[in-house]
Parts: sequence; C-alpha cells; structure tokens
Amino acid sequence: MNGWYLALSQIKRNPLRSALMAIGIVIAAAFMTAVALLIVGVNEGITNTVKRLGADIMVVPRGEKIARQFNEALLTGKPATFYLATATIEKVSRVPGVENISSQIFVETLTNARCCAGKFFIVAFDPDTDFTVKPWLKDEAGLSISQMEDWMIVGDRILLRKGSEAQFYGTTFTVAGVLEPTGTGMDWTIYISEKSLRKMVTGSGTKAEMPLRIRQGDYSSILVKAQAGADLIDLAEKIEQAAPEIQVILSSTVAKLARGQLFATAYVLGCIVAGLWIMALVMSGVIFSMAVRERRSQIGLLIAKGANKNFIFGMLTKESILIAATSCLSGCLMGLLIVFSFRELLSNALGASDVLPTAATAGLFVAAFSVLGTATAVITAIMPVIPILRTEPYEAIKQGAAT
Amino acid sequence: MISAINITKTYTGQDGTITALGGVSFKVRRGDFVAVIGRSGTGKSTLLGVTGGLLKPSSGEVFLDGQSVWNLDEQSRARFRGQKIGFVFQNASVISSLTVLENVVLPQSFLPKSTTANMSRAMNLIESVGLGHRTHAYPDQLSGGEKRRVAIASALMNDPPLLLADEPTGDLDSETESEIMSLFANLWQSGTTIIMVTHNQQLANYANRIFKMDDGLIIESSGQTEAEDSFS
Repeated sequence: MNGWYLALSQIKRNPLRSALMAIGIVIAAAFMTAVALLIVGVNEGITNTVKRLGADIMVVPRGEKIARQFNEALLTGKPATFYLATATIEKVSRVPGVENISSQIFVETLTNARCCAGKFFIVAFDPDTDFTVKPWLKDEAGLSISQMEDWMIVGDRILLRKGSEAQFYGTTFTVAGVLEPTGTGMDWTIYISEKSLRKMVTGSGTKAEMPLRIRQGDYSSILVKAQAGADLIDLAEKIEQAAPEIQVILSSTVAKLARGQLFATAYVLGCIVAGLWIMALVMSGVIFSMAVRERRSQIGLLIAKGANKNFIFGMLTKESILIAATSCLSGCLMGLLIVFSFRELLSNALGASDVLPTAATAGLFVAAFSVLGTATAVITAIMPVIPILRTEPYEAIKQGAAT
Repeated sequence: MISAINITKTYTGQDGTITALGGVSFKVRRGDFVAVIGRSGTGKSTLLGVTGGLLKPSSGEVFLDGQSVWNLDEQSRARFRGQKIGFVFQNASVISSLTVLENVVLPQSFLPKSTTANMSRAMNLIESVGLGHRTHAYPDQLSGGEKRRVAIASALMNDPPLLLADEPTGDLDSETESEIMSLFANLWQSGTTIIMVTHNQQLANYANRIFKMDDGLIIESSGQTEAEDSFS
C-alpha cells in the first residue's frame, strides 16, 4: 500500500470534494486551451493567407492615408478609393525582378445598393492577368466567368450565393462564384471584371442615382509577383525609384498588421484566462488545504503507524497530482473539443479563415497546458498544506475531528 | 522497557506559558499494564504522546528498549515507532478511506521494503477482534466499537511489544467498553506491554499499575514493585 494507493483511495472516497477541486481547473483549462488554440489557429490562418495572397508587393499611390486605407481594405474589406495613372503600370512592369503584375480598380458601392445594407468594396480585376483572386475561387467558378457577361465573385462573408443577382450603379451582376474564407478583407469584397467595371462607369451616368467617375486607364493598385529568389526589400526600393508617385506595401507588412489586431484581442483574452486560472488555482488550493486540515487527525494517525513526514507530503502531493492532472487533461481536451465543434461559428465570429491549428500544434498545446496546468495546480494546492504538516502528530490527532 | 526521565512539556501562547508536564519520570517494565488516570487537562495524553514519540518534549528523555526516542531523526523515529509501538486513539482510530482489511494491513506499508504485507496475519487479527464478516467494510459502515476494534487490530499488525492507548473506550457504551477492555486484557496476558490513558477509575482496575496524574505530574503510583520506580 503505497502513497499513490492512499491518495487514490482518498479521491475515490471523497468524490464531492475531489469534484469541487477539479471543476474550477477543468473550466479554466478548457477556456485557456480554447483561447490559445483560437489565437494560434487564427495566426496560422494569417500566415496561410499571406502565403496565398499571391502578390509579394502591392503598389498604391503615395500617401500615409492611402496606405492606411489600403491595409484596412485588405484586412477588413472597408472600401477604399484612390487611383493611379496607366503609365505607372508600365514603369512598374519594367523594373528588373518583377515577374508578373496584375492591376485592380477599387470602387465603393452606394449605400442603397440592391443587394446589401451599407457600403461594400468592389474590386475590378483583369481575369487574364490575375493571380490573387482566382486561386481563392470555390467550385468551378472559373468556367462560369468565361461563360457569363456581367459576373461577380463574392467574398465568403457576403450574403450572396452562386446565381444570385445584385445591381451596382445601374448594372446587374450575377454571382459566378464564392471565394473560400480567407480571414481577410477579401471575405467582405465583391470582385468584378475590369471590362464590366468600365461598362458600369459608362452606364452609371444614365442608370445610377449617382454617376461613377473613374477615368479610362486609372487603376487603384498594382499587385506584383517577384521573380524567384528576388530580394523583396531591394525590389520595393527599385519600384519606388522607378515611379516616385507610388508607394510599395510588402505582403509581410499586411501580415504584421493583421497580427497586431490579433494580438490586441489575444491580450484581452489572455488577461481573462490568467484571471480565471488564478481563481481556479486559489479555489482548488483552498478546498485542498481545507480537506487536509479536516484530515489532520488521520495524518497524525498515519505518522503514529510509522509513516514519516516525507511520506505524508508525498501522499498529499500525489493526491493533488491525480486530481490536477486528470482535471487539466480533461479541461484541455474539452477546450480542443469546443474549438473543433464550433469551428465554423468561431471562424465566422472572428473573421478568420480557420480557428483550428494543425493537429500537431493542437496536440502540443494540449500536452503543454496539461503539464503546466498540473504543475501550477499542484504547487498551489500543496503550499498551504506545508504549515499543517509542521504540526506535532499528537497535536494533529487531538485537534482533528473524530472518526 | 520504558524509562522516562524528567520530562517537561510547556506551551507558549497568548495567555503565557502553560506547563503540561512538569518534570515526569517513570519506568515501565515489559509485560506491565499501566493505567494513567486523572482529570481532564492533567497531562495524561501529553505524557502518552511524548512516550510514543509523537509529541516532542520541552526537555527530558524517553528510552524504549534502551533507545532514546527523541535522539533519533524524524525518519528513524517513524521507523522505530512503526516497529515498536502500536497506538489506539479515541479521536483518530481508523483511516476513513480504507477498508477494515486495508486499515489493519496499513502499518506494514511503513516497514522496510524487505517486509511484505502479511494478509493472513491481518485476517487473523480481524477475526480475533470479531470483525471477520466486516473485512471489506469502510469505516463509515462501522459502529464506534467496531472502529475501535479495527484500530486495535491495526495497532497489533506489526506485532509491537508496546501498545499505547488514549481513552480507547472514551465514547463507547458500557457493553462495547467491556468488550474492548477484554481485548486489552487478553493482549496483556499474551505479553504485550500496555499503557492506557483513561479518566475512568473502573477501567484502571484492568491494569496492574496505575499512575495518577494531576497538574502535569504523577502524584500517585500504585502496583509498582521495584524501588527504582520514581515519579515527581
């Protein structure tokens, strides 16, 4: 009959106390794991998004305000409107190190567009040169594009589905496809062809409540794909030198901005998790020390029967390890299950492409949190017990409740 | 067998220093059954705790079979206690999370690893205290008298030469009290040395020696046959 056996017998014979000790830890561990997995999952999503963004460098007109608007549009889909002249495209395409370019034109819908409430961001692109939008297309939307006149592709968060129609500036567009969720502003953006846009601009004078004024040959941004092995910083400098009227935004900067937003949320959630964890530890520690205090006479009896204080300390540590490890592991698995079960819902709520990290990362987090959680819970449970163990065994027997 | 020399035990609290034992000396021979009697708060239990190595004296020495109990380190004292002394308490008689059998076997767990738990001895002990039919019962399924019998069986598991009992029948009815005292009498007759603390004068009649305590001192000793027995 060793310390583990005695510890387990205490847990089994006091299920209510053991459950009370465990419940706080289970809840806190579940919340902690869920939050950590969400943050890591969203972060991985951002990395994937930037990887799949397609463009290494984005070119927009010079100006701090424009850069801010552009980043916002990319990350949140908030409409941005600014324009570059056609000559800029030629200058950028001639810079050594540029492999491919694709231009886009930005438009803001009118508030009362016949599809959706509020203003939406329309991006017009050339399907022949595009390498940023089409990779995100679901199904066989590419085929539909080639067969349709005024098509549009909508982001995952726009409440329109394939075949739906919507009218912008007097021109009716049909949804040809829906993008996969990206966790970026693309989810809130409507994509149309450059050809349709020019047609819409022309027709808006007579059909729309307010004409759309974009000059022939104007573009909003140029998306640049660098040649393999090119130094992006160096290339960005060269592009800015070639066309002083523009500024260059690296895709890594977009990721940095997205992470900045994520970490602000993570900080708040982290504080809540820390508070919850501390509360759970205190609660479990108080219950455990109260339980040990109640058992003082039995501890004294064990010493009378030949146990030394190291054995008693070990037995109590083992008891707290059994409770803490079981509850931490259960809580962590519950957290994983919550994120897994509400994956879609959480993705939508957070505007992320996915909230679940890879299986390896999730497993690592569950294991790490189980071990760390157990360690902190055991330390917190055992610390208040140490003074009780200093009591003389005979005093403990006399002070304890009768059995 | 036991020699206690000038034992004192004082407690310092908010009300000043309280003397629980004021310099007690006594000797107990192998095979004695000593009843320590006296009113509440006269130091009986304190004397038992100090003698059994469970309560450190402020000064003085206790020798058990020639070994100074309080000169041993904590681990050695625990081992020594496990081998030499069995305890029966009123307050804490059994471990509530263990069955009758587990409670009886428990003291063997603290002996050196070479000694394995002897289930048949435990079963015999349980039978001898009349609880053969309750082997797998938990303490909350037992009566007060049954718990005390389990405590006695457990105290005897390591076959200790000395049994220390603190008010072993304190909260039991008279019938159960008689049963428990019969067990003690049988143990004594089989050669176990017993020191029993009680406030019941009638129970003291089971013993061959009586120490009467008052105000932290043994004020009267009856039944001693050797001149060296002394008390202060």
